[in-house]
Amino acid sequence: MLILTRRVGESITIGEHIKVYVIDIKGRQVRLGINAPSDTTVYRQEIYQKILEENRLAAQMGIASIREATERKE
Amino acid sequence: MPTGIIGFPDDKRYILLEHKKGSIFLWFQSVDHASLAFVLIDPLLFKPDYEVHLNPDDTAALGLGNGNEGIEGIQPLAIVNILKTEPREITANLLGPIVLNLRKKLARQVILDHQRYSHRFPIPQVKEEKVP
Repeated sequence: MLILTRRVGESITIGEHIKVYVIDIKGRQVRLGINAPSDTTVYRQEIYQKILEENRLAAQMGIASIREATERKE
Repeated sequence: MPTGIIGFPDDKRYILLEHKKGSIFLWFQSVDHASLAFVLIDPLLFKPDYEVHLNPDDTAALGLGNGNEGIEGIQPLAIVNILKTEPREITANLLGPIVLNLRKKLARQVILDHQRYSHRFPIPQVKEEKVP
């Protein structure tokens, strides 16, 4: 992992097309500005992780539990 | 699905099937792995004010180009989950819906505003018939 120090107003470049700017720092919070191509999606890590885990859980649902659930709902 | 479902990047081709006739549930079945399938539901059936905001990367992935093509054929569907609670709770992931472009047969899982939508929204009792 690369660890570096930046000040407000400074930025880093990742590859050819991604720029991350440090916009503001307040206490323990940092505001970042991200410029990335439209085919690169930027997510908050904890939200991405939540969706990923929920998807994995949903993929494990068996037919039986679906039947049980749908019979209850319909 | 050019980028697949989050966590399942290798599965890009799915077919949409009815659970059974008249059911509010749909199956999103991977073409490449028979064992991979998701249950989907139209969120508008139980959350009429549901809104999907598409970012430029979402519209590009859905083949919507400059956005002048209208929303005909654009359908968000939520992934259904059954929590192992007692009693079992059936939830819909409103935070990360699958958005379909039915005209172009493209789909993408988009992530919406986490302060507005839950990944475990309880599905209330819904009527058997679909709301037209």
